Amino acid sequence: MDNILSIKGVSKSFGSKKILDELSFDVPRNSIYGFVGKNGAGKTTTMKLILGMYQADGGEIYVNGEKVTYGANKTNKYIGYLPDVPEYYGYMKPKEYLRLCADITGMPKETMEEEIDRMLEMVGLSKDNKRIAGFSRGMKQRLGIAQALLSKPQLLICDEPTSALDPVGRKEILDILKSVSQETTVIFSTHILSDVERICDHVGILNDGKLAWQGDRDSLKAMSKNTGFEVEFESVEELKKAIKLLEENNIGIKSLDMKDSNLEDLFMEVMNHETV
Amino acid sequence: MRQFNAFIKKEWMEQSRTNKLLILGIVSVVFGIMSPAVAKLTPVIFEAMSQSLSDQGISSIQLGEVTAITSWQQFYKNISTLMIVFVVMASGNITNEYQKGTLVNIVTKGMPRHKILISKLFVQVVIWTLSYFITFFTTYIYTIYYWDNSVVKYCFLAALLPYLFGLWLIAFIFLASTISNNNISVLLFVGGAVALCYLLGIAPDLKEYLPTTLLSAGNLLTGASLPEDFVKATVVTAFTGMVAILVSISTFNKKKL
Repeated sequence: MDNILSIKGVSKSFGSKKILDELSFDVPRNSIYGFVGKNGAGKTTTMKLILGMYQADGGEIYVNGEKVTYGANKTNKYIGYLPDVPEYYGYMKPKEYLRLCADITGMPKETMEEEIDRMLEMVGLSKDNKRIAGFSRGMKQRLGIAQALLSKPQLLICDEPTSALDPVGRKEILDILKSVSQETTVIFSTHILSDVERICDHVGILNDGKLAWQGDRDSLKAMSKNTGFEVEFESVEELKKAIKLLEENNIGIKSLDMKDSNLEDLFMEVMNHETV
Repeated sequence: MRQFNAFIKKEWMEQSRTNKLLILGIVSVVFGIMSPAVAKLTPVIFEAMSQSLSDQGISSIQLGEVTAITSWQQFYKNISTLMIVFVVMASGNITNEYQKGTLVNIVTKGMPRHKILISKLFVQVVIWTLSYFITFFTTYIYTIYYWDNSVVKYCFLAALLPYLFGLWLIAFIFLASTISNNNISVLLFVGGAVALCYLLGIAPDLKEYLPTTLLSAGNLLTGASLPEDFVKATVVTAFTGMVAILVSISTFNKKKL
């Protein structure tokens, strides 16, 4: 399986602060790659380097086998980009903005309208024919995905696509990203680890300017097995019996916590009841 | 070409939907009417004033004869205010896009930066042309209606000079917009450039080369100046304007968005 994206020894500093320190990693074609790191780790910087918006101090980046150059953005024809705070022309309606994008990327005029309608349908905006200025954050994110995917790019790069959304919005975006991964490789950056667990098949953890850890889903699962165990009992009586057994055999219990219901599950449940 | 058309369409939509076209249109018509209106009303005002003045024992002031030239002199006085309105409106054209980040997506999609700038330039020039000539022809129509315009020398030629100065202002707005990031800086830059011209104009040898000289085009109407007197200023204006545009294209290509 070849790689849609190759980052080789890329370094980038802003003034005296070194953000990326000979960063190297590859993204396999048609994968969903979760790019994880704390705030300020350099995720957005990496993305902007891939897009040719920043110039690297050292190293090379290849998209679809072609080298990325600063400013010239020839490799951008393979890429759809969703920035972390997408901003569009507020006085335009979604269709008008997508038409502008289609004209800039040179989409064939015959199929343009059809594709635009299809995209808006896919992201759930086909009924919202008002000006973008009145859009919520989630709607802007969805429009962002529509414009990023309009020209059917081979690589979709999303910068924290779910960070500012409520759980319902996050699920919608993640579902959309999963559904497009058949034709498009998806890279998205996030610090919401549950999102990564949900849809990614490859993960890279950025720390101190380098890739501290990377692997596919299986190696991720293998790692998480070692963080501890969770035991579930049918009833409190059974639990008491188990504790007695452990005591009788001189096995000390380090800690015993009551598991709270997951707040996120509760939120989703309430939302579902509301919508039904 | 498709990219140009698309972005020009977007610029026009922006100017229209943010009501800039409407406001400028109204201002242009108002300014166009104002010049002949003031010329027409001044004797009436003076008449009314001289009545109350003579009641107080002051003899009436003699007002010279009001002709077409009076109307046009008002036009050339007011035109710099029209320019200020236009400059204030145009100052945010590029810098607002930096503030909002709306150019990021456009550029990453593959729109060459110089095409963005030229599309914006084209639309601003069209708007200035429309605005200026609406004002001019409104004044013209009222002036020929009320007075004999044949006493006016070089009526149309004179009109072209402040128009050219407006184009020069656009060039400097663009230059400032590629160097700075907010529209206040743009206004300061352009205002500073104009102020510098006025300052340099104190030296009589320099005055005939300065773009601001074009604003005295009203002197052509009475024969106080001749067309040859404006040639040097026209050349300097055109040249510095074009240099400003070329530099702005070059700066914009490297600008971090």
